[in-house]
Amino acid sequence: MRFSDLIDRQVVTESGEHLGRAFDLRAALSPGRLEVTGIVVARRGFLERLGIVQLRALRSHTRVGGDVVPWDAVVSVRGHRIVVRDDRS
Amino acid sequence: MSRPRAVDLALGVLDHQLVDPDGRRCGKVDDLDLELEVEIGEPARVTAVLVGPRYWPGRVRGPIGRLLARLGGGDGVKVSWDDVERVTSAVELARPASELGLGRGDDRFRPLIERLPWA
Amino acid sequence: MRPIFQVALGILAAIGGFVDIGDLVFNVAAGAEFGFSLLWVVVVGVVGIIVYSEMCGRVAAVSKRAVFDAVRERLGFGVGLVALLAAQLVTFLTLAAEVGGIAIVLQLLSDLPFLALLPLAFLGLLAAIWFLEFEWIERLFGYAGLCLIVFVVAAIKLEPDWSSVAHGFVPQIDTGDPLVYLYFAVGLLGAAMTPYEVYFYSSGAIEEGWTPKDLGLNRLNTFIGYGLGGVLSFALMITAGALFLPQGIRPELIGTVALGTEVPLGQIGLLLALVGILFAVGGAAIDTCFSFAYNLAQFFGWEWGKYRGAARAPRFTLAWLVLLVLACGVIATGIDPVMLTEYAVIFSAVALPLTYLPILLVANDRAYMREHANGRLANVFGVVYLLVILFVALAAIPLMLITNMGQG
Repeated sequence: MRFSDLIDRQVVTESGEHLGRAFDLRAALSPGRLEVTGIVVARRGFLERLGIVQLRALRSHTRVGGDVVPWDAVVSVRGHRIVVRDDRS
Repeated sequence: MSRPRAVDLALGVLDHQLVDPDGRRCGKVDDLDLELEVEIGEPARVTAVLVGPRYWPGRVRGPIGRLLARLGGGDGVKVSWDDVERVTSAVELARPASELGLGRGDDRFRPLIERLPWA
Repeated sequence: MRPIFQVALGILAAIGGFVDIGDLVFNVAAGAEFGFSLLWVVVVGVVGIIVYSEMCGRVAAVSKRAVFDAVRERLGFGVGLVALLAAQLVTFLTLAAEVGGIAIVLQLLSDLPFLALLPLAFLGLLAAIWFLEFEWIERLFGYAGLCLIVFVVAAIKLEPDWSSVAHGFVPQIDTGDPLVYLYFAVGLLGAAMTPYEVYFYSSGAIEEGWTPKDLGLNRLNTFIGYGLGGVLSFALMITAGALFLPQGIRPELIGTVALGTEVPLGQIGLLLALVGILFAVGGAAIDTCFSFAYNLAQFFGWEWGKYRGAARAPRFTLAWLVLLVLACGVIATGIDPVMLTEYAVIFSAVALPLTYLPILLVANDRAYMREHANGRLANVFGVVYLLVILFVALAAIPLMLITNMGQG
């Protein structure tokens, strides 16, 4: 699947709670490997894409904090949504 | 660098410059291929960097995206993530652009420039 | 840091290269219309370009990213493309205006027909770009542009009311004609902070191979180079205010601009003014032309830079060549370069925020900039100017329409 297909989707829990939009993917970079570790979710939209979620985000290549749903909480990416488990520790 | 570094894909990889080992600029990261395997519970990985006008409709939806792709020539190259050496402010490749099929746009126009006087 | 002599030469080139056709037209027109009361706006504009250029230079030296790399990375492909289109349109208009200005000055110097001088202008620019190294292009046009210092001499010789001049540096607004005043204010800001200047400065830093060691040079170039360059803008306005305003002259021709030096200083003043304008605008034309190619290449990831050589950056080379030809074509249609300049400056003002914001964001990014990211002072100025630029961008076109391009 392409990154551009996955992004911008609504993220909802199994019980139907809307968490917001997926506007980026958090990943772990190691030699030869780039592994997706989470979905960066927010309700607000455009400003997030610019990286202005929090002032701290301005100082880093990754958004420090922000709402990140761990990738292993994802249940399915079928259709136009990303469904995650209700418990997302 | 044994511990993995956190990076956000749209912020830190997508739309960044591709540079080959000779320092040659050879395109931008237009999109990424992901291997998801969500059902099996396997971790999701980035498997390839997608470069070229062929992948623009994925970024700009609708007729505008398709028009742009056609204006750009419609080419596209899939670069395996194995061929990525390192990610800094650019995405640095492990092999020369010509081996990966990148930089063809410049290759196509080079003969025209070389034909100009005093070039 | 490079040898002090080299640094000084670079600063001189920056001073001489500061003024372009937009500054010429708007500073003189503002002086003729409102005397010295818009001088404070020029100060705001000069500080703005210093702040913005310093940031761009620092970003380029540390992260090796130029403006449109940052635009694409921060705004993404879709929104970034809109920014690119806006920037390219404005840059093209500006180039056409510059080329028109060059042809007019050549005509004033030689009395040859305009259409014969256009190919001459084209070939002159082309030869300079093709045969000279990057640094030497800037030097040649920058030093010759220093002839514009004649306007400083002229301003002094005209013996304006210096207390009035001093009062012009105090922020104010002309209550007699506030909308026209604001129109000129917007134009002056747009002319002082024309987008192509930072595209070019940022890419130029990479052309010249700047590293973090050059950050001091970056500060000197921008602070002193552009700061003193601003004095030339003051001189233009003061000369116009002292000479044209009392006589009710509305300078609509570039020749009238040069009159500003002929009246107090005679033929030698006129000649120096024309040569200064020719090279300042000529240098600006080259910068503008290259900016177009830089933006395109940086957005799409092509190889770019004069330092690469034409054959290694074919699409980049074709881009500026084709644009130069097109700009000459536009002028050949007989369109009035001064009017074109006004449109170019106003539209430039509208396009400013789209390219300013990504630079401000990247300048704050610790992962790119390491210890050279914006400190608090840089951010205070950065944010203040972002607000200024946003206001100017929103007000520009309405003011242009309401005041009928400053005619009132």
